[in-house]
Amino acid sequence: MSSPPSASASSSPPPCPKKMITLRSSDGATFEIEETAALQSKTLENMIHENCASTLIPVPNITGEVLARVVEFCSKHAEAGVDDESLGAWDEEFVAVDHTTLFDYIRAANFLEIPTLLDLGCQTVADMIKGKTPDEIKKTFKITTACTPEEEEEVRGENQWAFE
Amino acid sequence: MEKPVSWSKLPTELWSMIGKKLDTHMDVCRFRSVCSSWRSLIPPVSEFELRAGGGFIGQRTVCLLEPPPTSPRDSRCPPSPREGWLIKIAEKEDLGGGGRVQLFNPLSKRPISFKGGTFPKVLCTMDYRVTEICVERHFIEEDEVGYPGRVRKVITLPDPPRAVREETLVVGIFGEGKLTWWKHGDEVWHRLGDPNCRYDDLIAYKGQCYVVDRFGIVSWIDPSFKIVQFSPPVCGDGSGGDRKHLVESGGDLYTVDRYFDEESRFSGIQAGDVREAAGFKVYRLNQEWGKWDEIRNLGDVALFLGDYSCFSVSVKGFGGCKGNCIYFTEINAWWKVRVLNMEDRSIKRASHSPDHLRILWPPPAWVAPDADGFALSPAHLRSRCFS
Repeated sequence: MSSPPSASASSSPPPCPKKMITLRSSDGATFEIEETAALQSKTLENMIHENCASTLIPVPNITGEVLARVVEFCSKHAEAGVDDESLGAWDEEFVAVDHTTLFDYIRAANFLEIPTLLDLGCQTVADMIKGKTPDEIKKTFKITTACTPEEEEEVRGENQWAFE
Repeated sequence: MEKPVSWSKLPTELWSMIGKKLDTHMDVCRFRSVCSSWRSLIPPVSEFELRAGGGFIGQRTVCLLEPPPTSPRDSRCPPSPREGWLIKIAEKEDLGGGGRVQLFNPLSKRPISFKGGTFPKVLCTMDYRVTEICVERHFIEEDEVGYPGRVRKVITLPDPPRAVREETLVVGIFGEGKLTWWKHGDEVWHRLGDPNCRYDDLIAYKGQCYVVDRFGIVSWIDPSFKIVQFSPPVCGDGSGGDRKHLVESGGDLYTVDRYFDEESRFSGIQAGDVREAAGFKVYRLNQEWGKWDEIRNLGDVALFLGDYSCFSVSVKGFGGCKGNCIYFTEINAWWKVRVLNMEDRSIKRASHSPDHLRILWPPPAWVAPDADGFALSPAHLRSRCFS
């Protein structure tokens, strides 16, 4: 961890690392997050820069329950000195949740534009798809739309093995 | 009971992002089979013919077939044991596509044919869970000039299915352990590594090429084609075995050290002679500490050391199929399929060990309903496929 900049530093001062931002969820709950952690979200980054005076940012699309976890994620990923393997293990535990929660994480990460969380969420869903039959995939994700008759014909051809 | 999730509310661009994370041909195919919307999100995997310095690079895929789970069962009942059939298939190009495939013994180039008609002529793979275990490459010599000699094993980078012909790198071991590489547009193969070093095996691991030499030193090939040491030797005191194999399991890199029997160790043995195995030792690379840990129990995992690829399969939950073993072919005798039981270190012919043969042969009843035919006359087919 580097020492704080001295008073005579000539470069333009970055935001003080300990500056706290408060986020307010759709149901009125508030959460504190360090600015460096909040900057992981492009959406929050833009709002912080546009609205420098205020430290309270409303996040109307996300409930308190989900926002709390998102704050936890961003804080963890902003921590210094965490090696890749430990972070990977932490991430794995973070997404070991039920489908509802996973869905909420992905939507929150998409809205807040947090690439790391979005990537993790999407990878988790991809892992749920791996190895499954198309019918199982449809059931898992409640997909009720279908392919056109022409596409069905192609699908049949792509999913068959003809032995001699 | 969890409330139902409205996955359909997820924007299309996120389903596109999810689809792009699927890294096997089969999974991409399944994704594209779900509905029109998903079908348009990612392109089909394009199989391409890869000509490489004096020949072709062919491809075969090792897959594990499982029946899909039956409808939601009473959670009070214990889960029924899993079943699986491990196969290797290759698309037959000469018959103009259309899903024509040839089955192979997963450990070698031995084709499996079903004369007598009790095996279905066409299999609809949508009826099964299909997990791609490994895509193996092999080199088919074409002309006499331009390839470096008898190519024993090759890998290509980047991994399929996202490989692009112009960016493909081929690395191979030829002869008795020389390393060589070829890149799209090259006329000849290039030698690589220490000419005095004997390289035993190579593997694509985490997107890079790793090689192991006769001492069990694993190195990786950096972008400038330099060999960079990655591990210490497996046995510092020179007591190692005779042939090393690299295999990935559970995300970790393993070296399996094969010991030849006394007869095979005699000097004067010719390069192409059969060398039978007397034993194996398994080591997992502890990357954090930069050392090898000997593994004496593989748990639910079975390792497969084939002629063209090495891979691992977890048989956790499989009824009547044991893990903690190594399936292998004898050196220069690819028709001899053996299994080492890690519990008692015994080596048996695969065809003489029903618990171990089950995952390979016969085809299960949920694939070939007339499987009795295979069970009743196993001798001639077994001996043709899994002696």
